[in-house]
Amino acid sequence: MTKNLEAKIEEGLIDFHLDKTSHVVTCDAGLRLEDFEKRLNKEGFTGAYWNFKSSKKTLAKLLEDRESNIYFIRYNGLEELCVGGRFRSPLSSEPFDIKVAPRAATGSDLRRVLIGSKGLMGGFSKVTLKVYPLPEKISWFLIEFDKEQEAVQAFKQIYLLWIRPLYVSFLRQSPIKLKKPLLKNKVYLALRLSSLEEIVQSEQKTLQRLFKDKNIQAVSEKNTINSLDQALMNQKSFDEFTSYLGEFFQYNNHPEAIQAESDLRKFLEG
Amino acid sequence: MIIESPQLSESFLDQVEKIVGPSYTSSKKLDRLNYARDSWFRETIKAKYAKTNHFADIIVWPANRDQVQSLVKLALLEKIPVVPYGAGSGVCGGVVPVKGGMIIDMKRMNRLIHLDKENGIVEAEAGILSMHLEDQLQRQGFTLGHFPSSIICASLGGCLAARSAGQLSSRYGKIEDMTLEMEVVTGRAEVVQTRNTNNRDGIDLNQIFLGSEGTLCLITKAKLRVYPLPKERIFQAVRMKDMETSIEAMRRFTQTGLKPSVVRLYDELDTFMLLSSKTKDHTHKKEKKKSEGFLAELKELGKFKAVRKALTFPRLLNAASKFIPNGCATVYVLEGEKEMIRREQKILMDICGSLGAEDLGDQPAYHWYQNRYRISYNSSPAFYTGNLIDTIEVAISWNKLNELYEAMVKAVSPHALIMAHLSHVYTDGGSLYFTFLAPLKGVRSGQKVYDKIWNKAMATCNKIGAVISHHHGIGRLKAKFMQEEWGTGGLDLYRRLKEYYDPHAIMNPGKLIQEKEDIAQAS
Repeated sequence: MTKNLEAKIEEGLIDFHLDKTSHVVTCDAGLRLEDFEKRLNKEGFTGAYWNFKSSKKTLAKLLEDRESNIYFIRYNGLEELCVGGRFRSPLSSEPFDIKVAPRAATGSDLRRVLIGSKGLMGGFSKVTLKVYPLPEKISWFLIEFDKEQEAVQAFKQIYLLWIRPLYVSFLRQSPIKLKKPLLKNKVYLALRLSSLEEIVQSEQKTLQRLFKDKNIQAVSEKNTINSLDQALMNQKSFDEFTSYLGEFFQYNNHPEAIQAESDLRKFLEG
Repeated sequence: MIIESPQLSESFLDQVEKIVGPSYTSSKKLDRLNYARDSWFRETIKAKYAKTNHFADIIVWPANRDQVQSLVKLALLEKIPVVPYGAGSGVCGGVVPVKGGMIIDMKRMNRLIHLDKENGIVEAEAGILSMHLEDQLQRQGFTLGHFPSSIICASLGGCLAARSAGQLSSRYGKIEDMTLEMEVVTGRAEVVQTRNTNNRDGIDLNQIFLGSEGTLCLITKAKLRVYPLPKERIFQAVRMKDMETSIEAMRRFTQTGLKPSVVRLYDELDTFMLLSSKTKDHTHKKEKKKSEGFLAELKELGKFKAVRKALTFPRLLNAASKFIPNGCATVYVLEGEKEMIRREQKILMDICGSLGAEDLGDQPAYHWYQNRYRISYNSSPAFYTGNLIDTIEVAISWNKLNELYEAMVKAVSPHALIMAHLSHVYTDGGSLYFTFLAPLKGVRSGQKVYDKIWNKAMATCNKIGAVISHHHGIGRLKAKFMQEEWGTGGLDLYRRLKEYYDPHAIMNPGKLIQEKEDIAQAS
């Protein structure tokens, strides 16, 4: 974050209000993602959102396009992280505020209809987003499989048992030195666990029990964690693993659904 | 009460019969009377005094999506209002046929279509009862995790249309969190298939139709996330000195990122009801039958003349309830893998202990769990012993929860006995659920008191910034408050969607928002 921006926030020229009780931040939607995250980190929090390609984009733009979150397995996407804001729409006679509340049953969820509409319905000028404390403990957990499909099956099982890693990837033979060396012709399901220390420990224990017949290892040394972060947390790795999850998350592109969205878009544009 | 003859042409009725078959349509007065309301209390007061005044002209029971589509096409041609009907458990008047027309009851569309065990996804028709769906899933080792207290009389479609929440929402989320895809028939008589757009681009049609309360479409089927049944469950109750401290403990625990399935905090009066019914539960069998939750207690209380008389001085009664020396109880249910929930329990008790909590053990939580569906059904006996009873569920962020609680109690206290619990929590806030009770003295005065309470409660919510509904929906009850809830800009946006999906305004008129003609009619 540039000093200039920091000063502007301090002087109140850029709105940035962190509510540490409710774990939400309200700020100008024109803030860039990387600045937003750095500012939160300074306060001991994270926005729980990152996108490898879009760190320089503004929050408004990210919401407009509903750009994917690499941490979605644990924290969901922007549609869940954004809990309110001020919206300006060409379809409305005046800007309006979306109340900040965890959930509502007040008709269609306008907030979630606006997110991802690619500007068709307007854009956020101010936004309220959930934030999370920086994790107390980070660890990688590796499980060995013969094939990618088996690793994906294991991931589904883990997800349905409510273990939600921050990030998941395949790991294959790598120069990174690990306690147990990785074997050739094997693929490893790499789960990045992060939370309170006690929670990470209990997740590890559960995983050890679930996969006791497999070759497994937990990685807790800082340097090795950093090496694994560098090796695995990138667009290619993210795309590869998520490409296996279409069926699980029902990422179906039904032609009828695409058509229905397109028809609505045409009507609203007209 | 006069039920006039149906105002539909013979040819319309004939065509309806052709679509669904003669056995699945009715214009009988008895059916029209039975379908004149849901469980909205204001309409219940009217029904008690034989003042029901809105009747559908015809009720139909389609068997499949094509029949639903044909019925909407027909209604569209003749500009006949269409009111979708699930199981009638709504509490906001969402199915009251204010302009007559055709009620489409979805109950015959009640199949669990497919359970994908590998991916944890169920596909079901909208008319299936929530309890039947859950039973079928549990028989196969799965759960939807959606347990509204109306589970035995709420349809899946109704839950989707009103953004329902179950008692285990803190873990499984609300129904909108579980929904992946939907199929609907819009007011244009078109079938629309939606897709899951979470964490990727596209207009989220799910979020347009969820909560639309039949004003845009009829929901015909949906795909939802399901989970394997939990292996273990831990029950835990604690007591703290007051609401503020208890809210703080819940907040800290929720913000650890853990997902307890049940978190329910009771205020002083509600705690008194919870703990006294629990105590009786462990005395002897005769008393156990009597004690089925706090509403049963209210019913018992309502029978006593002195207490009924005291209800005419609600402010005094509310003030007195604050001096009940029992503090505030919270029940927690943790479920999942053994190692994980034991660790969760330790974290929970560490947090509660640091705030001075008393460990009440597992019994109050277990007792609540065992009796969790009974509570809501005790409102009827309370009503028939001469009490006006209803609930208000609102939501807000953590920093304003206690302020909201105190302001709501203050606003309603002059008119009714009021108590509350906090039972749906998220990292950023939660939902307060208020129950109020006042003596019912006739249809006009009953409605007057009822309206006054709701007006004051909703004004309080708006002032503090809470959303006016967390999971009951809007229906007819709260439509007049939507101008303030969404603002003109929000309403404009919704009206554009309405213009597209229901261009002739045939879908469930008079619900969700108040149009100018509704305001004129009401005045």
